[in-house]
Amino acid sequence: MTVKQRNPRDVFGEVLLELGRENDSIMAVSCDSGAGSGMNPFKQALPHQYLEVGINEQNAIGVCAGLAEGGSIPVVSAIAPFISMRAFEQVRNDLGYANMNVKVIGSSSGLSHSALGSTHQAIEDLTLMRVIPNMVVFNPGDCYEVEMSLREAIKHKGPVYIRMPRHPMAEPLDESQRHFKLGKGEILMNTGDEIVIAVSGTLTVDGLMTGKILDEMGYGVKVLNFTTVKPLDTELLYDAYKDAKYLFTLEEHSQIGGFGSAVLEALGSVKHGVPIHIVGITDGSINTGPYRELLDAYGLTWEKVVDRILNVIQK
Amino acid sequence: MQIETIERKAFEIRKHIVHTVINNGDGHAGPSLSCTDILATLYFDIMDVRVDEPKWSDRDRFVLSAGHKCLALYGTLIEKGFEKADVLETYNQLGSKVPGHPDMKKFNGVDFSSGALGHGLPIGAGMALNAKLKGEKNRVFVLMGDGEQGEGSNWEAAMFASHHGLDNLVGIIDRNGLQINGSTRDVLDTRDLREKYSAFGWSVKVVDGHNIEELLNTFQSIPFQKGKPSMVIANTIKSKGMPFAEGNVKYHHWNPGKNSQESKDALDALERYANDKGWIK
Ligand SMILES: Cc1ncc(C[n+]2csc(CCOP(=O)(O)OP(=O)(O)O)c2C)c(N)n1
Ligand SMILES: [Mg+2]
Repeated sequence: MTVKQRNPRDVFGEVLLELGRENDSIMAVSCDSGAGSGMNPFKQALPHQYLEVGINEQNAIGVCAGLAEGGSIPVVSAIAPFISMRAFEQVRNDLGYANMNVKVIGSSSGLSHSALGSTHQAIEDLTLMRVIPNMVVFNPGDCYEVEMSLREAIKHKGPVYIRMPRHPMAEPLDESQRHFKLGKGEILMNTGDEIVIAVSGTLTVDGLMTGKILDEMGYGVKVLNFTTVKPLDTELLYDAYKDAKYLFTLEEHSQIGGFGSAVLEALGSVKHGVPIHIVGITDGSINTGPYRELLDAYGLTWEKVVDRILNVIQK
Repeated sequence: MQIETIERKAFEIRKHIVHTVINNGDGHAGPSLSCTDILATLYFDIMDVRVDEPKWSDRDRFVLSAGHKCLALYGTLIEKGFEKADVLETYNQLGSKVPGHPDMKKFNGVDFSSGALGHGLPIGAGMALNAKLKGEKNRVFVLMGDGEQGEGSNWEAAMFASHHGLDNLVGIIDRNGLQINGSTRDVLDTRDLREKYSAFGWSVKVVDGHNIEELLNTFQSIPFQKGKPSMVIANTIKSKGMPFAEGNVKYHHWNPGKNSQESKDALDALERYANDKGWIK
């Protein structure tokens, strides 16, 4: 595990600026989202490729669809619930079905606006974005994944949703050991077949910690990480699942319709008697507080996840 | 006398806002200080509510559409007596009854949860229509930001409210001229809001949002025109009461830290104000 104190928003902003300098079709589109979007350096350096639309997310998506129709590559950012939920139908029709080359950035996603309450938390965005035709869905959990998601999103022609983390995160492996590819997962740890933990997004390190503890307790553990939620790396999943005794999925998202559901959908038709447990937020988030404390209250920190898994397998 | 009572309540509300952010960290200080005088006027003169019966069905309703200004609402409801002041000590803590946006399930006197901009006016229109349908006399007040006017839902509700002749609905725009990324003029120019709402069939008045007397006179003359919803455009100063931050977009969020120079300056300013008013002996 490597600990870097880089802020994901800053990394996003730096990479976007680099890409914008290389390709003047790229436009950064802000919905009065301020420093939270990480776009301020872009705005300063490339004002002609920067567009501020104000507080109107539905309009912003429509405008981006129009820009993309004419050949621009808009990268539009707002706090995740507002861009993915307020503007949902616009995203579905005007980006999804129309297959427009627009990159939708849901900033400060998941529970990261932990003290601001349910209006500012997005624990349903994977569900919503996944169901949209043509949409590629990235769920980066650390700065490396943020950078690579953005680079791949720009290379890919078509609509992409990037679910952005807000807080600086440790990285599960050194970057030299990672091979990011759209639609591909990665193996973070492999000491046996017994327990498979499939994780996506900000809980990657918690998933890995969980794996290490279970391994120390004598279980054979595989930890798989999926930054791309759609299309999902079903091959990697099948491979791990066919010899497993338990499969757990882990995400900072509702258990309904998110990454865990995507795993269930992928494995539902495989003949294999092993139960799949989705670990996420049961049904809505009404609690508020400091970020890690809130994750803990929902049983999503590695300490709690270890207990939850032991509860299942020791029954 | 009435005016000074309200001014004093507004001062107490400002103290809650400033103390909470200094002691508990990050909060929307500028937006809250901007609408404090309006809230004090509504709750300490205009609105008919019952502290011992927060859900009384005939009460006047208040919807804080710009939910990020919740510290002003918490301070007001505390001063009114709906909750005790010490709940603010849990601000930003796990399980708090005072989260960063108001939650009607957590705090007595909050008539509707909010936080996503552009929801309040449609909800208020529904409440006002419901009162009309039932023949009730209560009124509904909805407070919005000026940047918030960019949300299309406001204009859908504006058409709806005038179509249904909801003269028991009162919109208030806290027109401080700023949003997050800069001035409203630079981000998305609202231009003449009076003309816009008039064209949508509302009766509009423009007031100084920090002048209690003007606010009182305005709200006492509701509805401005029978059969039309009323809109109050209140010209305000973001961060009003913290001189170093007034009209400065940087203070949308404020997190000065205890004992910082800014926190001292803010507390000094409050004290100076109270002194000038002769409230401190
Ligand atoms: C739908 C939606 N989009 C974006 C935001 C984020 N946001 C919170 S406050 C704010 C600026 C509000 O400006 P204004 O309405 O002028 O209120 P002020 O703070 O100036 O009083 C924004 C963009 C939000 N809360 N809801
Ligand atoms: Mg404003």
